Amino acid sequence: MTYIAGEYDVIVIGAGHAGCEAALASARMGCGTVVFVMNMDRIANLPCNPSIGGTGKGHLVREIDALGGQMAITADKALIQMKMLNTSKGPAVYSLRSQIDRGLYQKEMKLELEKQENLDIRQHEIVEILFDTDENQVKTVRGVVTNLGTVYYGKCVVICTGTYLKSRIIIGDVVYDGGPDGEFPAAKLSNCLLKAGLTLLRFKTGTPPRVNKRSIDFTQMEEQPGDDRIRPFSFDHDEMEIEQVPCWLTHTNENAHKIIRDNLHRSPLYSGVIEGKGPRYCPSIEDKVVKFPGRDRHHIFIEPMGKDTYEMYLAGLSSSLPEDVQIAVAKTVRGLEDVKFNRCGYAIEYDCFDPMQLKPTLEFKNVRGLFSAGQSNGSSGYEEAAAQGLVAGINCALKLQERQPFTIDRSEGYIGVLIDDLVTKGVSEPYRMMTSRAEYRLVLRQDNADMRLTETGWKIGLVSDKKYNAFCKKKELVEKEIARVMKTVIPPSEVVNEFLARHNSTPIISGMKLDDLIKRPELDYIMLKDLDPDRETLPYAVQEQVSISVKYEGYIKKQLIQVEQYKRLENRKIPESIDYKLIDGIRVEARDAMAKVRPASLGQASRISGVNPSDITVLQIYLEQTRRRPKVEEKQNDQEAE
Amino acid sequence: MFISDRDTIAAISTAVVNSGISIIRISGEDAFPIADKVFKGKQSVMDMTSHTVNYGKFISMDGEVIDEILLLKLDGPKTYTRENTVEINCHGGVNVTNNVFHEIVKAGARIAEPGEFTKRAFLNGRIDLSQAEAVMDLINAQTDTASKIAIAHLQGKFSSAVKEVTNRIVDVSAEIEYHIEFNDDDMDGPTMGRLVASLTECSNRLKKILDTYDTGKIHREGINVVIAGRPNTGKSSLMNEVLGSDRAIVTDIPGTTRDIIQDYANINGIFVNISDSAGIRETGDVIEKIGIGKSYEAAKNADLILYMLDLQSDLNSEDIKFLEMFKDKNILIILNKTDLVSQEQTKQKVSAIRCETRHDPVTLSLKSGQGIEGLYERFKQMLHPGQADPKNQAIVTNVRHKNSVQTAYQAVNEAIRGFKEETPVDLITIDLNIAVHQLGLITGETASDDIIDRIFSSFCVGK
Ligand SMILES: Nc1nc2c(ncn2[C@@H]2O[C@H](COP(=O)(O)OP(=O)(O)OP(=O)(O)O)[C@@H](O)[C@H]2O)c(=O)[nH]1
Ligand SMILES: [Mg+2]
Repeated sequence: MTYIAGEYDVIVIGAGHAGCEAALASARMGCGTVVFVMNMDRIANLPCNPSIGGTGKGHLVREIDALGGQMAITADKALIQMKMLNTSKGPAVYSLRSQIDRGLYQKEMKLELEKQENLDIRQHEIVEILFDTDENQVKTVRGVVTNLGTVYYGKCVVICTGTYLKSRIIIGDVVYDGGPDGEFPAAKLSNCLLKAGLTLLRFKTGTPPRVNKRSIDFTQMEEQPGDDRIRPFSFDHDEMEIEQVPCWLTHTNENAHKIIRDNLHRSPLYSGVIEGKGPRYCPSIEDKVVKFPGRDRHHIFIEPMGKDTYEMYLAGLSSSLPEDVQIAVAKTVRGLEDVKFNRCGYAIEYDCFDPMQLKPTLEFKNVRGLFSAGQSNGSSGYEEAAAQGLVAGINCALKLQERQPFTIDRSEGYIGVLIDDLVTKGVSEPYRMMTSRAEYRLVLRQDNADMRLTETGWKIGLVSDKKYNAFCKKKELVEKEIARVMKTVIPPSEVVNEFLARHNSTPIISGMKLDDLIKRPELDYIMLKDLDPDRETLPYAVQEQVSISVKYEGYIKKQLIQVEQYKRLENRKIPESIDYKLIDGIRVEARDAMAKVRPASLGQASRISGVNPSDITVLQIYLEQTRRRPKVEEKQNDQEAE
Repeated sequence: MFISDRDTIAAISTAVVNSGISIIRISGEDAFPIADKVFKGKQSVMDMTSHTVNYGKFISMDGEVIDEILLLKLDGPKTYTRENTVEINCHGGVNVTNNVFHEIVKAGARIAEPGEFTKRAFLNGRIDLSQAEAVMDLINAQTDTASKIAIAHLQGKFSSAVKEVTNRIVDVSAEIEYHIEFNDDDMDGPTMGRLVASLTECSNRLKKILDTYDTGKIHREGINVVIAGRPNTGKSSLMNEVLGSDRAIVTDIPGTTRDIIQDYANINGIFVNISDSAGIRETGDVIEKIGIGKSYEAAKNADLILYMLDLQSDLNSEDIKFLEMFKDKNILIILNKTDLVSQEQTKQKVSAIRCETRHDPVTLSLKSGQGIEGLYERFKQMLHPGQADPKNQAIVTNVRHKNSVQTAYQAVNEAIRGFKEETPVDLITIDLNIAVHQLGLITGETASDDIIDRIFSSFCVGK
């Protein structure tokens, strides 16, 4: 029997990383929200690495925090190790990577949802989405139906189904319908989405085995500790003191590789059982051995799954080989000779959307009020999912409040790069954030995410006044200190030149501007403290900002020039009503591509694959034509000045 | 990737080329201040009244006087583009015009794309819909003009050379990105050494391409041809033949031509700036002496020298001195007046000249017309793209391309310097991206996805 169980502003399907952010953002912005989860004990599960952050991903986490999202705060609570990566590779690519207590993270996130005003949590599988269709065949989302046949009405629906849609688990020649970590799949929803005219893709990903800590000989491995000074994810947290848990490094070897090669015929990847497209950046061990036959070993990082568990995660051994082969391979590895498996590695295949069906707000172009975020959009990773969830949740609320939609462009944040890539270029494999995808990464640093986004987050209504005020104070300190540094001149003296000599730096003869000293390759702001008596003690985050802004001023300026050029085309908006069929000069290939993506700006149009510069010129002329059409008539008589 | 409509643009207008005057147009917000940087007259450009012609000197950015010019100032919107516009009439030859143009670009104008003035005229509402459609045709019909075909081969070479360099840079970028994204370790010394070596190779190649710019200029901006030789050999007759008019005086008195006579011609689709010069000989005549001095001067600036000999006389010391002096130049020796000697004599003369000068002469008679077709044929061969340069290497033909190559070259050098100064690698990639972007402006390709694909195909990623 169907009955109507409730009416909400926003319905979120799924409470993974995307769903949690979407639900929290919408509820915090004042919308009555319900989030559906198949299993209450799996909210914010981390079914792969017990880790958050990493190169590029760490940037996303900080941006989520700068906008008032949740992931960073909860990750800091569940932190068991923190590392700043790439410290020698330059300020643009410094990235935070953490080890997370998986159980604690889930618990904390669940509690956050439970405490949240305006937010209900229901344990149900959603099997259908309801639509209204108007006389022009335009669909608007109406609500959802649960597996019990219950109807919930909603004005906006956000799909955050992760890898659960029609998911299959594959281990060797064993294949069964199932979700990650022994969960049920969401088998029914896909059909209704297909019927609604949406395009689905089939993707694949995988995860390595988990093993018991007692069965590992750590003396045979290299310890990988966290940083001495922990830099937390959240801008709310200045310093953090925790007892960190190390990771361990070991390697595969020729014996392991031989076993893999001998058993390739049993691999579903090579036998054709797996149809979905897998990610190139996260290959299985069998993939690595086949593709790089010259490598005699591959890294294996052993990561703790939490503080109160003996389970350890074998990063680098992701595999869909049969269980016996996985165990045999693991046992050849130094320190894992007596290893005891808890869970074996597996591949998982699932349905997701072609993200080119989405607007940059993550709303479907063809269905009003329907949004999608996370792995269901063909991305991968907890952080990518959370970032999209946040953007979708915010846009639901803004839409219902009849406010301007919220988007971030490629020069404002990694979140902008992520979403623009997804909706403009589409995906051919699960999409992972990488710093090399960001053209303007020197201005999109993890340290200045708040400078870039917190003001916006506050205006939207997601960043609290408290957080915003703290940000304003920090900003003021940074600006004042930069101004002071720029004015400060260091006079030559014995002490100064002795200091310089100690750091292999040329002595100074006349007074030298402090910022010029900071810009010397061998020096930096923080170490020059000794020569700078007027410097006040500033919070570390402030010092970091000043240090980078001053030292890399030249490069930052170069990048800002590029940003300015980029913005010009980005600001040339294309009306949604444009009919590409009416534009004569555009090549057919480009016309089809543009009609599919329906870019919001000339800039976005220029990034669509298959569109070339002359197509853009024609488009630009067409836009001006239509814009000026009434005026053009008047000007026909205008014969002056030829 | 794309051009901006807000830049101030400039172009040489070649419409009035035959009058010996060139017009350079500058259009855009900064047209007046840019023109003012290079103009010295009674008033600054900003102070001039609109729609007035002003006389003054054209000064290079280094302060050197390049030409005397007439400058027409036009306040927008009463202009073709509706933007502030400056028109500069210079009356030097192609060289001077090019110099003037380069200085304007140095002063801050961007070189206009083909059709860009018209495009702006439309965008700013100056011309109507149907005219605008013509502009679109222009933009679309990029491939089938005769001149395009003529230089296609050359450009093919050029863009494949550019692509090769781009490829190498992208490889370096991919390796750096791999280290950033997927490798916890620092880049080791040998790896860096290898990357620097690869970039140095890129830098060298870009330099080489830049050096060909002068050769390539021929195809874009025309070629300077100078006719030289002893008096009475028939130089002026040849000039008139090429121009198809009685431009130069022809008499049988040696020393008729006293000054350089310059004009423009189109030979087999190649734009030629041709000069006739005074016959070279020892002389006591002051005027003639000055004229001969000018002949040498003109030969020095020539892209191609047509050296005339009279079949009736032998090579003399003047000839040998001249040929020796310009041995690094493109020279075509023409043996004139076949009508006055026997075929046998002509043959002997040809082999003697081949022997003495190592040049392969053409023989003709400007009087009877015999052999003139053969001259044009040789002309075409010498100027034909791809054969102008014996090594058949990539040649830059266009100033905009040259600017891109130049910027890319500097960026690659910055990157190399970055490595040497141990700059963090993420900053080095900024310069590499600039280089790739600039080269992409030439080939029309972007590389960002390329880099990512390469990371995955070349490196073992993932823990
Ligand atoms: N028979 C014959 N006479 C020619 C030919 N070409 C030129 N002449 C004559 O040679 C004389 C000199 O010709 P120009 O063209 O004035 O020679 P030039 O080299 O310009 O001489 P200068 O200006 O004095 O250096 C004229 O009388 C021409 O008519 C030819 O092919 N055959
Ligand atoms: Mg003469």
